[in-house]
Amino acid sequence: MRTQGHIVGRKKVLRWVVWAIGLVLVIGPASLQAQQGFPSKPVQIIVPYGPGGSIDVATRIFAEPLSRELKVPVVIDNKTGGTGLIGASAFLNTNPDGYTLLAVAGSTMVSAVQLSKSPAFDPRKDFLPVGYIADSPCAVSVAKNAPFKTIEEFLKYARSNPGKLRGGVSSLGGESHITFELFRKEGKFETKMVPYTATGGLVTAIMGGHLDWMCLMFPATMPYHRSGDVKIVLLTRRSAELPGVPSGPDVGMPGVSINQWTALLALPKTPKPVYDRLVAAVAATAKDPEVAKKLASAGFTLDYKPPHEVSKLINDQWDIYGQVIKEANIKTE
Amino acid sequence: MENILNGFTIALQPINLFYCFIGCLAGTLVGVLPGIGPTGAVALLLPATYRFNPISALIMMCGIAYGAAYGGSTTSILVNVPGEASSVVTCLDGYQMAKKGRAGPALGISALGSFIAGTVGVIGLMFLAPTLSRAALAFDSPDYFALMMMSLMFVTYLVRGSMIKALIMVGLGLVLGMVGMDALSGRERFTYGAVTLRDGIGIIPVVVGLFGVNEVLETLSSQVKTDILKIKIKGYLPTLQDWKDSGRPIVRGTFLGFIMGIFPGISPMIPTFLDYGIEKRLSKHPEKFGTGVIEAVAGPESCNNAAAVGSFVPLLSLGIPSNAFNAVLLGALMIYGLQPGPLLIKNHPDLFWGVVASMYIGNAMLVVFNLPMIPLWVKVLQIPANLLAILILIFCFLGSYSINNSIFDAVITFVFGVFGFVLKRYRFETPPLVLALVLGPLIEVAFRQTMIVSGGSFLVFIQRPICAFLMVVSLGIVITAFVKKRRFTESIGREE
Repeated sequence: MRTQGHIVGRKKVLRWVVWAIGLVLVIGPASLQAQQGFPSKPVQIIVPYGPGGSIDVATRIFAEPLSRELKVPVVIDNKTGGTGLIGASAFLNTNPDGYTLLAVAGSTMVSAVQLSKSPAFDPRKDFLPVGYIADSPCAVSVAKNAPFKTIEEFLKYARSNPGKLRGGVSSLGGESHITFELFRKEGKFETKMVPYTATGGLVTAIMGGHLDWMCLMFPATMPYHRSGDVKIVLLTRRSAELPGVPSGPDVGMPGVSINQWTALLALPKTPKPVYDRLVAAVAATAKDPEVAKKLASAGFTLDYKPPHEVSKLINDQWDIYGQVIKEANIKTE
Repeated sequence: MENILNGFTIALQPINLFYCFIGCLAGTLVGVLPGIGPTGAVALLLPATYRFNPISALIMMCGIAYGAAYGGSTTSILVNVPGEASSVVTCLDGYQMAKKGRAGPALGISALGSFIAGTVGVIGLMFLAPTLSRAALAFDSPDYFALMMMSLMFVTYLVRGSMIKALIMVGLGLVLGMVGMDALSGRERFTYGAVTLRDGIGIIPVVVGLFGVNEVLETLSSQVKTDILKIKIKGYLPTLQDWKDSGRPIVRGTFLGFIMGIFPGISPMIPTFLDYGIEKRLSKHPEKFGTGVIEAVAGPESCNNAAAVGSFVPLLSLGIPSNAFNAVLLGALMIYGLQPGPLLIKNHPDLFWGVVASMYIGNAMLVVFNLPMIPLWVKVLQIPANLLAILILIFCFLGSYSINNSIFDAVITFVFGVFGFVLKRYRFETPPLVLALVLGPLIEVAFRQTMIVSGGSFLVFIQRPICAFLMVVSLGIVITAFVKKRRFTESIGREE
């Protein structure tokens, strides 16, 4: 047993080290320290997307209490590019010592790999899940002046006016795009699909009346639903904030149930004691009601899942995405 | 009015003044350093702000944004390395001014023009934010397409030499802009299987290479090694004549920048190019543009500051980020538990008015600590040429590497440095390439979105009033440009 004073003293030293994190992570003699008791230096989480995005926000919210749990700083490193593939590949080249973790939007990662001509890794085999943190549903919303206000009215209108509706999605291959494809397939209607390159452009277009409906993540849609600029008619999972809005399975569309989720991953060769410590720390952090509150205000639902469930989810979604991508004829050649 | 006063009470609290100062200082720093932009700086600082009051944190982050717009011009003028993408145009005449010993006035007019533009922009933000952002929503993809096409037409005003060579550069820029994963279909284009190329070719690495590295190669290859030492410094502040020349450009730059800043997705770089074109078109001596005229520095520099403020309009009033930096701010607001969106101003008036008031103060602070810095900056020019060349190279590569911590970006910078050197030898001008590289992807996406909605009909472009108007303007630019171009080339010929 260490004394409390010993740990506090160490913490002080480490606080200095934070400022030289980059250096420490490169030259730190990791294997030795790992045996001495994990963790003894800052833990880095690679976020393979740009700062400010939904996965980044969720991970940053989670990192703060996680650092209290692990008693070392937890640092976020945004390694942007290649729809998440660059950060993930960089992660695969790090030391499997548990000091570097990867945060992923599970399904984006799955689709990014499937959309890649020569994938550098297989998300089903090359990672070791540490835990599932949170998720948020996708929302189908309609423009303010649209002649339909509910999912039934929407479907009726869409089916009697095939190909007339202008629907929008924010980024190709993401959860909202997959939901778009599954929704139009299971809802049995035809629509135009206008892809946008960023959420901003999509939201601007629907607010300006240039689109009739869109698929976008729930947290990003919610402010415009509250202000009355759009109306959410369907979610991929029911939300306590909008009790009146049905989910896909509620209206007979079982496929319209894909949520954007965030999980932390480690490398398969991570030493067992280190891995167990990480899994326990993530599980403990997820029990903190403060974390749930903070995530909820950013639109996420804290929903901890242990590693084996994450693996199962990745496998399931691999198959669903593969089929949707094939049917929607999205190619990378 | 009550709101504004309330905002100032918040912004003038010592703690908020302090964070405003820190933000401006950090912003100036990242602005001066090429590559490292406000986006990276804020992402790094974000964890440190969790314990702040959200208003203080936002005040600091906004300070970084407009501080960077101030600092970006410094290296453009002194060493021909744009500190930010929005300061590329400043290189054209700013650096020429420095070569003539007028770096001081160039820096001075940038700082003061930025101050004026920033302040006017903040007033616009304060009174017009909700109205303007709703008005900008009327723009649909065909209108964006027309707006971008019009911007591209301004290429005719960016060149001094051969128009054919300029068009070749435009073509090349458009092709380079296509590299990467097509945002609308997911297909990879010109990537040859390389993951790093999926995101396309970054603008900053290209620009730093074309301007900075190229300039170093130029210096090292020229016989006159003491070139820079010979510069005689003529004054540190703009003269009365300079003010007379710059007054109107500052006003025009401010309005153009602010208005274009409001549209989501338009990088602040585009209005600066437009502004340069407009100034050249209106100038009585367009043949002197590119040789170091002060109005060509004053206009674009005011423009980029106004655009930086303008981009806060959709962010704060609608929750729509118009660039990468604003996306980070949006994320920060979410982490603080505030919900950005159309209701932000209504639900958190203290935040909106406090931040806006801090922008007035921040702009004043920036002028106060930028003006005394000018003599210091000008001294940079007295560093021996060889040493300076090495320093510039280090900053160029460090800068482009630091954007994504990617070696590949540094390689791009090197390749474009050498390429720019070759181009210059054969009298190709690079600004058209940069403009086309920025506009190409935007034009393409807007065009294809238009086609998806219209079902392939081109009629939409003349059916929509905004779009038709912009199309007519573009056509006008092309026609008058060719008429004027002849006279213009003649006058350049006479001068030489």
